[in-house]
Amino acid sequence: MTAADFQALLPFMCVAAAAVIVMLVISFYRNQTLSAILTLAGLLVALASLPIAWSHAPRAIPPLLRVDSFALVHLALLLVGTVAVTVFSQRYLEKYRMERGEFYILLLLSALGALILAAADHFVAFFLGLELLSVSLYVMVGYIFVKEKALEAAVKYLFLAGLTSALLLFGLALIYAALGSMEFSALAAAVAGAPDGLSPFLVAGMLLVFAGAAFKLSVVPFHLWTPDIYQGAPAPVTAFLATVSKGCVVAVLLRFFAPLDPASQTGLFSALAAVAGASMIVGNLLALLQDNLKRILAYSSIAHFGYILVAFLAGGENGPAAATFYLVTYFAATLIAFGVIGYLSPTDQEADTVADYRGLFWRRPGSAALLSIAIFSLLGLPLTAGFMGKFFLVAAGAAAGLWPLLIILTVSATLGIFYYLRIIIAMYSGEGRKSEGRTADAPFAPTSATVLVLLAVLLIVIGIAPEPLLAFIQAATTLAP
Amino acid sequence: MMFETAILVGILFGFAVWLILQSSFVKILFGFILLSNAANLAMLSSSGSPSGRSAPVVLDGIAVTAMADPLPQALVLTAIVIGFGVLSYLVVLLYRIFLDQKTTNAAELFDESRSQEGGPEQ
Amino acid sequence: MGTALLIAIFLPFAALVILPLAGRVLGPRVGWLALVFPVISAGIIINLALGTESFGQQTVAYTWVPVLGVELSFLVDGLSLFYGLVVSVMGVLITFYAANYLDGHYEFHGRFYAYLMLFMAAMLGTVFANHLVLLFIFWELTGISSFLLIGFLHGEKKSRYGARMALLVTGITGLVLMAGLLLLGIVAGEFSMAALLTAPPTDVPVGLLGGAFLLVAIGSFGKSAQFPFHFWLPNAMAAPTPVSAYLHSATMVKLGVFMVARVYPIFVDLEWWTPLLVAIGFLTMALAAVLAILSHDLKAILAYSTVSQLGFLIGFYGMGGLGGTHYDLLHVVNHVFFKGCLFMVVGIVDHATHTRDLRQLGGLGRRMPLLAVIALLSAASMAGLPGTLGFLSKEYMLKDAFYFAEAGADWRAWYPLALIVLASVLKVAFSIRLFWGIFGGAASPAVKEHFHHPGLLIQLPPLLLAACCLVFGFAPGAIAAFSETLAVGGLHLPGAPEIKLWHGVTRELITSMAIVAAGAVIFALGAATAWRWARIPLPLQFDTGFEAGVERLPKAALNLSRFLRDNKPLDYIPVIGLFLVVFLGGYFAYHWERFEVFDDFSFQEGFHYLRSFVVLLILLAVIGVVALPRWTTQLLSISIVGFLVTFYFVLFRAPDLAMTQILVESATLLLVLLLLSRFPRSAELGERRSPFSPLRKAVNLIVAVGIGGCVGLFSFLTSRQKVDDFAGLWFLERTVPDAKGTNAVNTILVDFRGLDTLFEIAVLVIAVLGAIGLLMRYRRSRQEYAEGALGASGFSVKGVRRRQ
Repeated sequence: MTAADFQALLPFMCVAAAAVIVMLVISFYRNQTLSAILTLAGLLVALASLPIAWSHAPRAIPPLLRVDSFALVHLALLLVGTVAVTVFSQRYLEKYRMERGEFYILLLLSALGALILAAADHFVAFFLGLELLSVSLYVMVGYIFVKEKALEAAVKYLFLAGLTSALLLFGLALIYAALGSMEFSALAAAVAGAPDGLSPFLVAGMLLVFAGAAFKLSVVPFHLWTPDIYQGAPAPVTAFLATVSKGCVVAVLLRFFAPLDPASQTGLFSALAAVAGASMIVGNLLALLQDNLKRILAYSSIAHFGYILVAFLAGGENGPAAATFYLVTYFAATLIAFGVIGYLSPTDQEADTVADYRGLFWRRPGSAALLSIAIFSLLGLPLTAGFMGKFFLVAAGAAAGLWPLLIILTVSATLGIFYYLRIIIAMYSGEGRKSEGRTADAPFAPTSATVLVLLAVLLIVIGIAPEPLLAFIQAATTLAP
Repeated sequence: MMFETAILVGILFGFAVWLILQSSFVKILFGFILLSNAANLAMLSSSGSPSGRSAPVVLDGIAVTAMADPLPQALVLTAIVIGFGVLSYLVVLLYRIFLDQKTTNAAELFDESRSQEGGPEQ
Repeated sequence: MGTALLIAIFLPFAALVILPLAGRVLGPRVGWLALVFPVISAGIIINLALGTESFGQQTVAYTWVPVLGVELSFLVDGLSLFYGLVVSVMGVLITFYAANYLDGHYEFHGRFYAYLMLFMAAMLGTVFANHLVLLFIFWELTGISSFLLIGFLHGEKKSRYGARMALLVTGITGLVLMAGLLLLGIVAGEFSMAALLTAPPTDVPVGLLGGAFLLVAIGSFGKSAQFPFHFWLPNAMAAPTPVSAYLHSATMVKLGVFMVARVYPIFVDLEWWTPLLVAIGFLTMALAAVLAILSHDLKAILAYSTVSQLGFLIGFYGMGGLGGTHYDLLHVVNHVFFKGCLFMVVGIVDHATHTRDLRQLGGLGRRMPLLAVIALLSAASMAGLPGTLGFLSKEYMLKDAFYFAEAGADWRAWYPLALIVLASVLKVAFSIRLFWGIFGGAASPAVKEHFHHPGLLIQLPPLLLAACCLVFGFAPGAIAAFSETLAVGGLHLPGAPEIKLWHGVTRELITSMAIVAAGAVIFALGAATAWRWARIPLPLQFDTGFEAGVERLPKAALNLSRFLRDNKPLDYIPVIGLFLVVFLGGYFAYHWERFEVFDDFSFQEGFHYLRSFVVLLILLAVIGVVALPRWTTQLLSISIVGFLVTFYFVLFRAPDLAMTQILVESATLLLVLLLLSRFPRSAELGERRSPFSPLRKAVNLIVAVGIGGCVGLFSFLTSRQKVDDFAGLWFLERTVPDAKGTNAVNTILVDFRGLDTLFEIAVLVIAVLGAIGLLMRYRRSRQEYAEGALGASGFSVKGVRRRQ
């Protein structure tokens, strides 16, 4: 390890150090606000260290990690997501009178797992990052266990995630047996060496690894946990589950599948295409009849990751960029949605049914406007970031000639109008009497308000002038095949 | 060629899955213990047959090519510890569920949740 | 030109910020401030239109998202200028009218005008957009702003219902339009409308081009409320009247017509062009006219008559030949004049009497003579009486239909003419009814009770429009010149259209007179029976059907979601398991030959005696886990499995694993034993009965056997596959020189890859933190304390459960 290696690893070390510092501070002085501030400071320092790491990119840190511009873009995204979750958590824990700051250690460690995934260049790093992320999430999902359904959610998540991580381990065994190495570069070499098809063990192993990742992404058929866990987990944790824990998996999959050429791997790619298509259809159909906002968002997230898989399958020059750009828009919108839900939830129960949002606009116009922007972006309405994201996705898919998937995308996204609109209509109907919906009256804390407004502005700005970000992402995320 | 290891891995996976598919939390817990053993063995089996090889400890007089592959062993070691961490949390979680919900059965726990709001309108 | 156009389109967006703020201060008077925006836009566009004699195509382009090839480009030609003029000039009139209409009874004036300006900007953007994506963006924006405007009176249930229906129909058809535009762009390899119009794509597959046309047509039908989407427009009439006048007669609903005209040169060669547009257009025209005569609400009548007129316009383009057409601008401008005017009149009547039901109105002629004159003129234009612009429109409508019928091959070519005549007869009837019902006869009780006199200012905009109906009716040359100036190559025939008031006694004139007579007869019949029979029969109430469909959708989805195991946690693992079995098994079966299962297969090599013995023992212990009755004995069996696995690790030349395993196994045994000791005996007894159905048991068995089998088989095959130059060799070679340790597993974990160990520790920390969190915050109730340290003993699984 050289000094340059250390500098390239600075973002990871900042997050890890923050976890240790929070732990030490907690053992002397227990205050969740202090822990939150320290966490936030650690994350911001990590964000600030990104330019330093950037100056050393691309740099392989043997044998596990690879810090390049692709990884750093995802790192930035994941860190920003974690910052937002930290801010939301502070107020949420306060509401439940959780004066214990251990939660932030968990948050930092799972964020660390996510960062490792985004920079993973080795199957061991993949496994370790995923486990670190998952295990922290098992705990975080059930952390506020006085909340209704939290324990159930935790136990469901643990059972399913445990099962898939066993499969993942088995997949790694297959890959190691076939390759004799666990580096991603060995995979690329094997692909280059066998243009007429890979060893079936390798393909089976890759599919099992994909299954482990698909569980986190909650794409069909590994999606079943999503609505229950979204509903049961505390809103900030749901925000984390919906964004950071999925974004990092997209990053690692992009890198892992980058060397593959769709034309020569028809079997593998048609399996993935089936997963993408099924996710779009099932997600959008099942979102139709949910009465719970969190469940609606859960099913729609299944569909969103189906869309992202389309970009992923498109590959080529624009595939990774389209997926990354879509992730940015999805992150911002989803964080706003769960941030607002967390805020509006009174202490006894979360405000998460559509009925709770009746007439919200007339009671709390600010919250309603934020939520509307987020939902419009998720729906992909023009002049929001979501539209540009979808457009880029469709363009990448069209360039790769994925017509059947694009037709499914368009048709199933149309269903989105029905369920997203229900939320919007509920918010703008009614007379604004307090009795109409069960939401908290407390005003937004300045920190959260800042974060939420910034995210909303981001959605609009990207929607109107996507060029700078788009060009940046396109330049940064080209993965050499 | 390791016929018996394959049989062992298959049997352990099969029984583990059978137990996990039950509705009793205790059975599921047992299933997870078995599953973690099974996955570790599967990983280890990818290091190839141990016949004629020595442990991966470099001592004079043994060629490195005649040693067992240390990499899967290292990964399995990590996996054992991680599995134990998860298991211990699961034990406490089940205890907590028993204290709060007075049940040790998934069917009962989830059945209760189904009758409440949040799901699709019936 | 570029900057001016940008100002005209984008300046109204500024109103979004300014007007809501100004509204707080100015209240209802904010409307006069809002008037600034349409006046500026209208001024700029009029100036552009007056700038030259005849227009070719001019484009204004700015880069926007070059990565995606999307640019902010606008197309200025006759068609876009014509619609730009309609939108902006009507914008001025409507804003003026609204400033008088929306008095203190309404709330949130600032927001209303902001939405109105947003809508106007979106409309201008749509008609001027050149890039296909930009066109779609503005198109959707009109939908959103109209949703906001229709739903403005949010307190009224009808308003919400109408807004939702409008947004659903136009939103979904809008996405269809986007698909069509994208397909067109991709097929033609060109996203610029100007380029597509000058050089329509020729050497592309007809199927794809036809598909694009079909999608664009559906999008247009949705926006212009064509059958089968016609029902949303009357329901959108819940909006405040200025909104109805602007969106639902003059501008937004014409977007579908605009789109058809816009893509005319691109798609007119297609075989489907004429049949599709003619069939849908004229069917809508007749159907809507029937619905109008069956309605009593003033705005519903006007809405259906708008739908009827839009149907005619769509069908009109369908009849057009390859070279182009004439008179479309005449028909559009006529409709803008009389329908905008009538909506405003109805708004004033509604304002003055608080009712819009024709059966409760009457006798207003003497109270509002000026309004009566205005209404008379515009209703005459709607009916097509001589001397009005409507008369000319109908003359040329009939003329084109006659030509089409004569040029056609068989009786089907007479379809447009027949439906035009039918619709026109009905139109005459409801025009008379509209006028007479409001202004004629004696004053009804409702009128006497509520009537208050409207101001003069509010009557100015309709007066202006009514005057236009009359003036241009007598001076058609202006319209002809106007049409020539704004003609667009490919859409319009070259040369000025011939529009004359008097042609002599032609078949058109005779038909027209017959239509008026027949319409008068129908009105007389209706009046004689007091319109008692007029109600829309159930099969024609598409809106009710649509709502029922929207309501029923969730029910259908419910069955689907039951099938897809939504919220059925017990089924999650079996579903995933089944999938894996099918998938892995299928994969294995499919590649059976490539796996070479039986190659160099030998039992002697395959079995190692000591390992096989241990496997046998483990097998016995595992069977014990399932077969033994008590939890504790099962746990002991599990432990035996664990310890035997330790021994197996030893046989596998993995001493470190054996050490770790034996420690972890001991700790697990203790931990789980502790847990089981906390569970009451009754819980264990209660679980003897399995809650599963035989089917589920079978699934469990299949999944367990399947996964076990697949994994075992793969494991067997991989162990043969071992490559010779595995990565571990590198570590074995480097462990002594680099890490100064002989045990390669240890050096990997602590020297070469410290991360592994770091994360192991992190996972343990997480587990501890989680356990602490779950254990330490439990506050027992008094009762539970009394019941003993371990909680109440003997909880039955079926017994009472309490929540915190």
